[in-house]
Amino acid sequence: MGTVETPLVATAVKPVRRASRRRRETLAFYGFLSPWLFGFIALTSVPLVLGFAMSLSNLTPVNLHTNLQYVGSKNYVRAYHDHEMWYSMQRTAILMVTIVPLWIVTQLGLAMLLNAGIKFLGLWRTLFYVAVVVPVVAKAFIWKAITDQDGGLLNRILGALGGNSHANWLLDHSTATLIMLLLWGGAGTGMLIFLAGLKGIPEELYEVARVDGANAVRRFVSITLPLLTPVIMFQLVWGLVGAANVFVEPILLSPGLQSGLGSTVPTDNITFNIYALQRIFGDGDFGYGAAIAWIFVAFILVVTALVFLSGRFWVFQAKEQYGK
Amino acid sequence: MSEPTEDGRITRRKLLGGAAGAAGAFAAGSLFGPELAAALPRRRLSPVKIVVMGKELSQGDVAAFQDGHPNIAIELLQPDAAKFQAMMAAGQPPDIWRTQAPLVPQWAKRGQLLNLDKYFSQSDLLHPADLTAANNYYRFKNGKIGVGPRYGMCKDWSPDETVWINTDLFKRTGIHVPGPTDKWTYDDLWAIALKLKKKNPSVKWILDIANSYAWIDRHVMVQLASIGKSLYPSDFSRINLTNNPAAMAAFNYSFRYSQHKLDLGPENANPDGWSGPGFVTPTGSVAMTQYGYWFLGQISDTGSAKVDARSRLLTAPIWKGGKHLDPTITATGWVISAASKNPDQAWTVFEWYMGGKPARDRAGIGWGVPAQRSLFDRLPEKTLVQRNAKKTLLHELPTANVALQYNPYLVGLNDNTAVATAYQKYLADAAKGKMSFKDFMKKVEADTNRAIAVGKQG
Repeated sequence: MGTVETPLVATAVKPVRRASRRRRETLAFYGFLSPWLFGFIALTSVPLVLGFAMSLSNLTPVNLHTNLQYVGSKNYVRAYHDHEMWYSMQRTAILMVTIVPLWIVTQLGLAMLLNAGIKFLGLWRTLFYVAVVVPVVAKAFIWKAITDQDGGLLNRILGALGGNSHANWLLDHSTATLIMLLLWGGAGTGMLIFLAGLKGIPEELYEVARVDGANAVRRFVSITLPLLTPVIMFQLVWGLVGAANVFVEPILLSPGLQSGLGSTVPTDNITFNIYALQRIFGDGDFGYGAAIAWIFVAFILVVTALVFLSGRFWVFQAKEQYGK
Repeated sequence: MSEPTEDGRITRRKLLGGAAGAAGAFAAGSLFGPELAAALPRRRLSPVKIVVMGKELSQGDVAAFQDGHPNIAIELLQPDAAKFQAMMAAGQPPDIWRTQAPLVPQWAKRGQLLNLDKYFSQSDLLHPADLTAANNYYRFKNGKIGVGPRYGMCKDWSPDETVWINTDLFKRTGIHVPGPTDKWTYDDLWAIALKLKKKNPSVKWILDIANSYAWIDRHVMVQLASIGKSLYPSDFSRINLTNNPAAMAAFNYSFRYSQHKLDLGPENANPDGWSGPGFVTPTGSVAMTQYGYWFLGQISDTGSAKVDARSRLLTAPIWKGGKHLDPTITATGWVISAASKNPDQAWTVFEWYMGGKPARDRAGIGWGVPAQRSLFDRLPEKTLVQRNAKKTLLHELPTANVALQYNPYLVGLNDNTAVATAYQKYLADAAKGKMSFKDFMKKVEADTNRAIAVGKQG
């Protein structure tokens, strides 16, 4: 019996020790993860759910204790019939399809410039990136000064070239002004990501292409671009979400009637976010504003899903290629 | 028998569930914080905290108050519309907050303000008989402003329809400079504005109307009140605009300034966001501003003899066919929440700010007319502009005893009402001719009625 029991104990202890180690590792894993997880649940997930509940109510800043009611899908139906909401969605879509390609082209162009071994690399890298570290408020005020109707740099240049030296950029060309600011402020981060992507392309591929007589354009089209498609995909998704979420810049670029939430944002720059913000904090229409915010979430999800689906057709899949 | 390793294992599901529970408890705790705190035994030694959302009160003032009231601690929050909206919507308002006249009825109607009659009747510092008419904006009963219990009072006020002018510019243009108590009309103002613009093309901003239209509805309400008309029916169920020729005429009067780029409108935006800095700048980039007596503080604070000498306050222009009216349209002041857990301590802070040293200090600096008549002898009179402004003020006082009837269903928490927000929103397109004036007003009307409908839900 004794000879039989010994191996039984040994086999029972080993799994327990392994289990104990695995348990410690799991605890450590989730311990390190928990600050983010707690923040994500408490500050993102719970507010999202509460926001959805709010979208099904008639909550205003003054009716919590007097007449708060469940209104079902009424706010969503109202949004469907709200022309201004659709207009804000249209303006958001225009911003997305305009700024994202501009971002990608500019970021890739700057990254290739830095990757080409130009002189004073550090200086150029700093110059290209500096707009990222300047606070958005400062950037907007610099941009307002540049586009000022009376004596702004842009109008002076246009005047010197024989153009309209008195253009009201902030009002008559509000979306163009916004796009220029976003382009300037958003190019640096993407440039670094593209630069990392370019550094990851094996030099041998270019050498072989050169030996085969491929010129620079051919090398870019046949090597650089295909191998960068995963990075482009990332930038595309990131850019679309970022462009859809723009809302501080249009407020800061409003032509100066009031400030903060009272700013009179030009109609063409009222993006989806700003529209929701105005309904919530301007009208005090919390329920309706929350419904708009949820429609916005659905809109972003659909756009992102479509982009991911399209990726099957144009994003370079390294494993498959090497496997072949 | 199950595996020994399975019992104690922390699964992803368990951990996520636990974290969600903890986060939920945290969120719930934030919602029910005051109730939980109230249920717990309180240490009587710690001072009672009164949350005040307001400006014009420095940390130095707070420290001075707390020296004399060690049992009360003031937590001072800077005015932040979004934060305030969230606090109100969550049912956790500050104990005291700063507000303006058009916003008071929405809270008073819904029982969200503390009735202060009991406190006023027992106060040694604040006596209802001593309060100026501007304080009536903080009284409300059965849908009417100006009667019933007091829910607050103004920290100071101003006959806001008075107009500050740059007399140097008037003289240079050959325009007679009216005296501090002379009567004039809105037609006179229009003629002067056109002349100033024509003769002084370098002066970009001729007249700031109604705080760059943030107060446009209040301004129009004064014009209408002077001819016995109103923007709203007696039940406040809608705005009467496109069916109200008098209102259309009043809005159109201001709109003409935008069409001619005489104002600080979107077509002629001022980078400062208001006319204060431009009016007192040495070159004087703003010719006139309809801000009221309180703007004297802005002028006096420059310390410039030149700016003092060239600035003059004029009486409120008289609207066509109307009587001379000059009530305050702001009446900035304080209210106390009906939900305050410590109303007595909140009143102590309120009484100190409104009737104590801060009130006496405010009375002498020109940033508004004291809320109490007994403090009028402190009005500043050192300089010529201050003495002239006092003459204008005393002349206007009898015309200031009017409480405009603001709509209690407009529940915005910014200083702008929904009317002003809509006006500013469509003004640029209308001024550029992208829509007719009537369509402009239709849009303002639609937006306002939508806001009233929202307000009526509660």
